[in-house]
Amino acid sequence: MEFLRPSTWDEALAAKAEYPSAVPIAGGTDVMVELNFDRHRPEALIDLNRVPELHTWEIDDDVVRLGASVPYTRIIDHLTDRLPGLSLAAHTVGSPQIRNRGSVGGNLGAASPAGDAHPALLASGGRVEVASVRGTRMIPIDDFYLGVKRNALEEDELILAVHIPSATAPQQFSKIGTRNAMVIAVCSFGIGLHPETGTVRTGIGSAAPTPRRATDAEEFIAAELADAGLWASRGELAASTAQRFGELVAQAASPIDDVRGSAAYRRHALSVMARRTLTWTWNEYRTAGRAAA
Amino acid sequence: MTAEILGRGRARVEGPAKVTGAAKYAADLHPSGLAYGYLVLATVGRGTVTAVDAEAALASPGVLAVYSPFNPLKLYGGIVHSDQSFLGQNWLPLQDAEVRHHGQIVGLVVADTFEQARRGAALVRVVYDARPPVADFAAALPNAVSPGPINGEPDVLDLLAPGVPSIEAALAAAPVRAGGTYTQPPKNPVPLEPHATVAVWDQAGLTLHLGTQAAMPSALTVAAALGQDPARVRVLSEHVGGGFGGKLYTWAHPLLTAAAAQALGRPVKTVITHEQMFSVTGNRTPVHQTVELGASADGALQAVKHEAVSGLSTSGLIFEQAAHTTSRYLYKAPNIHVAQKVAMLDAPPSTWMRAPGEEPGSFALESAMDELAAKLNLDPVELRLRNYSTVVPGRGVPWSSKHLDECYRLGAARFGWNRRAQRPGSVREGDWLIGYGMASAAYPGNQFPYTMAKVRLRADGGAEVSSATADLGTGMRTVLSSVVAERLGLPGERVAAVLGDSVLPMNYGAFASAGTASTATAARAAASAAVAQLVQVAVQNAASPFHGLDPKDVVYAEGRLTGPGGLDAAFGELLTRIDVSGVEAQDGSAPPPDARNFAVHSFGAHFCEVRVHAWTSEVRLRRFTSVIDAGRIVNERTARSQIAGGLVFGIGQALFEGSVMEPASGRTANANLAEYLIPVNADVPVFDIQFLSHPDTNFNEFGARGIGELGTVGSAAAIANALFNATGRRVRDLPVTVDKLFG
Ligand SMILES: Cc1cc2nc3c(=O)[nH]c(=O)nc-3n(C[C@H](O)[C@H](O)[C@H](O)COP(=O)(O)OP(=O)(O)OC[C@H]3O[C@@H](n4cnc5c(N)ncnc54)[C@H](O)[C@@H]3O)c2cc1C
Repeated sequence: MEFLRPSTWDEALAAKAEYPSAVPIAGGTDVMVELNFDRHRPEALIDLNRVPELHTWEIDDDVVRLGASVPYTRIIDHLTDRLPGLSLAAHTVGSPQIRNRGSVGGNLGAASPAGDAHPALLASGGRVEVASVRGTRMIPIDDFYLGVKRNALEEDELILAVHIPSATAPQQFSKIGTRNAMVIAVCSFGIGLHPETGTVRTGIGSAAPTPRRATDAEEFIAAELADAGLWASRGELAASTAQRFGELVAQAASPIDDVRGSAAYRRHALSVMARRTLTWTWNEYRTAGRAAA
Repeated sequence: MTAEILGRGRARVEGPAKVTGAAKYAADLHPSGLAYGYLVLATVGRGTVTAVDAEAALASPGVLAVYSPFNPLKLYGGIVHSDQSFLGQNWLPLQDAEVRHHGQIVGLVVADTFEQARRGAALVRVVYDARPPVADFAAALPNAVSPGPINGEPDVLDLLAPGVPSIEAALAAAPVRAGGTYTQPPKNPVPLEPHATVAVWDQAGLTLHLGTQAAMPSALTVAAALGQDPARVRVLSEHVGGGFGGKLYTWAHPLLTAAAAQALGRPVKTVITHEQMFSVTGNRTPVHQTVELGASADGALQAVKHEAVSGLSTSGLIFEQAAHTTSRYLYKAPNIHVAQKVAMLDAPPSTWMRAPGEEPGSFALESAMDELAAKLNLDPVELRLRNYSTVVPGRGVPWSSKHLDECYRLGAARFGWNRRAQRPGSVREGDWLIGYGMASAAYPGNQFPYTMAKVRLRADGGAEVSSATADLGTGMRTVLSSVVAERLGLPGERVAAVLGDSVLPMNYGAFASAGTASTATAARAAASAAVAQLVQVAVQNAASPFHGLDPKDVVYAEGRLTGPGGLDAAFGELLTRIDVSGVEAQDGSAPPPDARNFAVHSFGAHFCEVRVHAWTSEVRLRRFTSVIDAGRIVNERTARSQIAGGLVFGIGQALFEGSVMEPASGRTANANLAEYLIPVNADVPVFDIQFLSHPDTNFNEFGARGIGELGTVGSAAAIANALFNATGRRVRDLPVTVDKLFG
């Protein structure tokens, strides 16, 4: 097995071009487990830890450009204001040790339906900046997840960063696990309010072959909020609306029974999480409005 | 000065070594010339190995040898059915081509480095003639068979009142009945220290470093399997990073490692992985139980029927004896029926995992008692007090000491049990449903025969106590040091405890919660013998100021000898003066009390508060109160840790743990610590642990019974009962996961 240690981004891209089947390592919290279990025996590993750009972030006016390898701990410590949904999701990942190493780039690379960053990214919206020796492209997060543990990367591409809009309104993330910490989600849910576009975005985790949005639920709530003029009035949300939103989120999932939980439970829990997180974010939005006024 | 050394919270003596990394475990050792072993495990659940292609492995860098059924290491089969054997299974590895379970050892690769050995193992190609395994416990239940007598009693035991024809008749006559079917999956002890072994041969024979609960039995077993004189095999096990029964028996890997080291003329180390641990080193068998209780309207039990079927590996040897260890004696009832069967499975070998029998049995019985209390609309504590047994049913003998009633009452008071709502699902705080539950705990007071200890008084003024037991985090070192320090009147720091070595005075090891009762009483006796020996030396040695005195006139107290005419010397001074490096003596534990006169158990009562999310059914434990009646507590600090650890085990049983065996292949699907869930800190609530103090001098002079397993007994039932109280939902299939509570 080759072990490649590029020290610049260009070297990394060259290595990936030369060894398309090589497995990149960021924090290694997924890769090393796979190697330990002997699930993979890649011909080469590309250690990305010496590539500086991957470990930094930049803040434009309204977008955070988050380097692929920035660990969850730093997101929690430095980016909670701008990326509240992702930060909440980061809090629930593994343990302190895992959060010190694990990264959003790695979560995207692994593209597990249970990865905790995905519902938050779907809910905030964003684009994944990927590159190869052939050039750079931006993949909208909605187009990134293709199948179980499959993403939209070409075999010579690497993830450089994720561009995530700074939150303009409340976001939430909710996860149910099989114990209180150090667990893969039974199911999870992310939500973000986007008053500037009059939309609410969602992300469902661990209840379908890929992370996915609940588009019917999003359209329903957008229409409800618009029809009643609630974005402007910051009026109260009817309980029945939140209830219906929850049901539509549950319908958007296609869960299975597995050792972590039954499909029926997942649907039920998703409807609960969706209803509750919608209510929380909306109430927070209303309070923030009053405070500002 | 030292009277209070016992009982008070003394920190464990090896604590600093453990937290600084100075403590050396077997896997930490690197003798020079070391080679590394890596196991090759079967990938089918049953069948025969027809060929092993080792060519690629042997050609791989660093590989020294590939052992397999076709290139075996000789092991002597006589050990398999011997009384002396602590072999954990009923066959020896590589001696035949049979595959008895998935993950069975079918090869050992030895190489210069660990990585080379692992690589070599991956290159070994094993060809099987596979047959379908019997690996579906539920499907095997109808074929369950009698296991033979249990604890000297029939496997189907009826204790019926005169004139009552059967337990069914007694149940039919009872106005109120409750119970159900209770099930739980197989479990694994999963200690964090991996099972590791390092074998070093020299002229004196074999030194085997092995994390084990039982150094001396391991040495005898290894010697017999290797065809060695027992005097030529020494097992060292200075530190053991958790065992829980998983390191009680001698498994196959130390035998192969020792044989390989001998064959290759080099030390060999084999550390098994967490994944391998699930099939190589013993588990708790799955259990299926039915309990039916019949009571009169006032809650007096009329009939207790408890039938259990446990899995039993075709590789042996152990199965959970759920009914005989619980319903057999816990409550006074005129009619008791307990029965045990075993369903044979092509599963990895099993072991005595913490509270074997009592763990599943107490979950079933104490859940059923809660169900009965609900039917009677009676407080569960009151129900237990109404059925309190003071003599063993069917035998009429009393307990050596039993204060379980005090545990109930004190526990209820400490916990605030009177705030419990009798009606389930009726207490809510915001989105959370609140529930209270309780259960009883009882575990036999065991004491091994022939346990020996040695105490040496040294010229430097220090003392040393030794015995071939183990400290797997239990606090045994600290207990031995404290017990001897108290007897000798010395500060604890001056008494070193040495254990974990098979050549030390005779000891079966650390299991069955018998450590303190057995080894501490032996140590205390040895300390007294050492003092007598000191006095003898003092009066006999010509250079001694006590020379020529009658031993009766020489008094030992607080580290000093005194005699007539103001004679006075600290023992260290005396020994230095007469130029003797030390005096020592051995003595043994007193024989356990005659079972015809007393039954011996440790007791406890658990009370627990849970929160269940009203919408998602997520469970949070809020607090636990456990009141423990275990005789005299030698060191409250380490004792508390033992109970807390037992409770954490119970939390695992109730909410998380279970090995998932695939019926078709016999493979354990979740053989790793990511998917085999054990409680993490965030799952563990505040524990309020209170010890009663009623020294059990009918049991031993010292008055101490065991505590290592007690915390595990009943704690899962307390949780399940609290979940019922919170939600009105009775889950009888463990672990209680969110979807069972919800669905
Ligand atoms: C004990 C434990 C607990 C865990 N708990 C959680 C949890 O609660 N929630 C959760 O979501 N995950 C969890 N994980 C999984 C893991 O920590 C996360 O998926 C994490 O985000 C992976 O990040 P990493 O930097 O370690 O990725 P790595 O392991 O380095 O890589 C993961 C994948 O991404 C690829 N990759 C990495 N960087 C790039 C790049 N720049 N371009 C292209 N591909 C790339 C790798 O090749 C690999 O396929 C846990 C893992 C462990 C070991």
